[in-house]
Amino acid sequence: MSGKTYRVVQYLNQFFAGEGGEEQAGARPHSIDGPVGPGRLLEESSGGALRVAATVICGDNRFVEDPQAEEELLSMIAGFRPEAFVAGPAFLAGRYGEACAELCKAVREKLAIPVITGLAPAHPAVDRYRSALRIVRTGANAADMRKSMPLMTAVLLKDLWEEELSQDEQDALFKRGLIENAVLSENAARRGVAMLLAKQRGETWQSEIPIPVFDYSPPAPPVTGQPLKVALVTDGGLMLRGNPEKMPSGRCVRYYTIDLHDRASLDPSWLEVNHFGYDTRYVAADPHRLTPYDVVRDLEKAGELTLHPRLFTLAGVATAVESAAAIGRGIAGELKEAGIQAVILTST
Amino acid sequence: MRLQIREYPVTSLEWADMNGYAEGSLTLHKEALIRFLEEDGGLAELMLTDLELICPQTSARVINIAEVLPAHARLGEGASDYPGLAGPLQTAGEGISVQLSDFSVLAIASLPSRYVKVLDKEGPGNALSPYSGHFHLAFRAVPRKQDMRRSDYFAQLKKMGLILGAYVARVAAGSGAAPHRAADYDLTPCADKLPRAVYVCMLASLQNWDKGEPILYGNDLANMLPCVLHPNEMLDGAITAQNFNLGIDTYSFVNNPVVKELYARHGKDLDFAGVVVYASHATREQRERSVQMTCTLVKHVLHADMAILTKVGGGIPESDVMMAVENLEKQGVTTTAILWSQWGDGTIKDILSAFSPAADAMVSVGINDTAICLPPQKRVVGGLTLDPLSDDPEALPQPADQEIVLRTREYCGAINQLGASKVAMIER
Repeated sequence: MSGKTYRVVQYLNQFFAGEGGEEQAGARPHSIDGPVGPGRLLEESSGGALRVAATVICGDNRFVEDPQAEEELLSMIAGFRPEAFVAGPAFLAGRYGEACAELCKAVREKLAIPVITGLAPAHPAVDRYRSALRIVRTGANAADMRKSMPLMTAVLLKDLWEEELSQDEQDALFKRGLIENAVLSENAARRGVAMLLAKQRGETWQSEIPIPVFDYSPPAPPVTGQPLKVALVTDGGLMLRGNPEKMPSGRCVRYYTIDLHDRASLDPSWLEVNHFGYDTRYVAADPHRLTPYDVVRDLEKAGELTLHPRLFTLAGVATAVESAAAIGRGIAGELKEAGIQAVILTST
Repeated sequence: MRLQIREYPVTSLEWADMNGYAEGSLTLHKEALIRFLEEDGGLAELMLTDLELICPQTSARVINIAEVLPAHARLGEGASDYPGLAGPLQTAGEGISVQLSDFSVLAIASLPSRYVKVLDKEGPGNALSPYSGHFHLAFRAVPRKQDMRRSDYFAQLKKMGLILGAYVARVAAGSGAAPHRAADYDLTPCADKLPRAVYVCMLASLQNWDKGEPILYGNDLANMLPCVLHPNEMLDGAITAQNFNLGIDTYSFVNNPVVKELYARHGKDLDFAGVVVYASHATREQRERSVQMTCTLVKHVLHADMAILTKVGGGIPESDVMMAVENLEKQGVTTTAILWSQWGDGTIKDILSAFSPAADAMVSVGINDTAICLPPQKRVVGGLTLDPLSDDPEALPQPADQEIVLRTREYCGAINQLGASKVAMIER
């Protein structure tokens, strides 16, 4: 702890800044000197240790729809030379919460200062950002402001003072989803039988291994029209010979593309395979065994379809679910933008 | 079926001119021990190269540990130790047996294996393993014939360790000293109506298995169909661990912590109905058949209200456990499963290779593949160099007397898939 007062910038949406509701959701990034609304509570709960130098504000729709908004906000925040950054709390507000989490992450990466935000447990951004950020667990709406803001303040101050969090403060944060080994007081067999009895008796129990909740993607409706616009995607580890993009043989965190322009076929003269999950020799000898470029090419010549000029690829083994989802979103985004109607996705 | 296990704790261990046991002090006569092995046939196919005593809280490291074995012997006229493997086939689990506590035999491999373990007797490893406080008789042996099959070698090594353990247990039993404790195990019918509990114990993963490996009464479990065991059979040497040692050893089967915990609560909190054992098979059809029959035994033969499941091996066994949990929960049987987890990307998203929403009560035996660093120890037993145990092609051999880095599951006892260790995965 120190007697110092730290300069803070706070991010709020149009609603919490008192500028209006949904009709102001398109408001461009702007700032106001000093605290607004929740910022006063932030200052008050810090006992003078935090001073809100400025409040940066953006409409909810503007942040998610305007690709420039985040950059504008970041340079605005940097201009105030803050020593810490506070976003929200956003409670269960969808777009606002996304903005708070994303800005906290970006500010910390760019300015390397302590950041804090607050979200309700059901907010979808919690799962995506909790491993990277300290996020205070809040109630579902602003009625929780008086409780959650002081907690955010306390955690932020500990960060500024480089002090360890108390148990209560740790409990107020979402677990970061990071794992480690610890030595407990009882062996697993004893804990297992105790858990079994608690479950059988209808008492509360806590699984030591949580089951993650996975998204469900319903199958897309059939595609129609000719010629179909088709792309090839594979997780079989196909890559350009020499691996110029340095694709790993597994645990990929991004996807790669292979330019198919002027390529009559897929063959080992310019392609190879890097994948630790299967015996790659047969695919390496003839990559058409992995992805049907030869057949698709013939259909294209016959006028039945048109093929996306790039093949999307990665080594799909031991991929973290989160990475796989991000990769999928990325590929789908590119393909949708290119007007692709269908994908032939071959796995191994 | 009633089994009494007479326990003799070991508090000191030394070589001496004669075998003896008094008030925890165990002395062994090396030459007598070797002579016994020669006469008893334990040395017929292997040649003993090292025989060492190792005490806790000494600066010592044992490497290349292929097996941890108990000092356990069945007493009584004609009683056979480890029936079907080390002795004639008969039912284990009845009568009187003797076992040393805080003591284990370490079988050290002389053939290379990626499934061997390391154990330090001092330093940070101590907190991780239930074997830290143990006294050990460690032995190493080589095949007498160059062309001995690997699986035969490891089976013989195991057998030699079991014979040694039984010999040492008889030293204590024959000393005239009173046992420290005599634990009685029987499934006396409960006076009160209590929830019936079954232990579903996967004995082996046949994903990586050698034909002829002794596992259940000496049988290798090829084409095994699930069956019911009395828990005493497990405590008395019916089961030995397979060579594919991913967090399992024979000591843990004979001292099965789940069986012991269910026994401790039998008649108080639950009615221990028995153990169903099965193997994790290789093909889809075999696996489904095995899981289905296991669950039928649990629900409709043993009439369980609840079941606790453990596994051995890696991914496919995990998937089998999930199938069993789903099946049992669907039939109204409450379940918990004891599982290890993997590091993956270091987050809870990536810890298991198979998930089921039905598995809502899982107990962790730790992340098996996180790295641990162990400082040097003065004395090293079992070799000079620790060969790479991972599949990383760039991993190098490590001098055994220096600081070494291992995956947690390579530290003897730290990751125990039967639940004997206190290591667990936590989320932060």
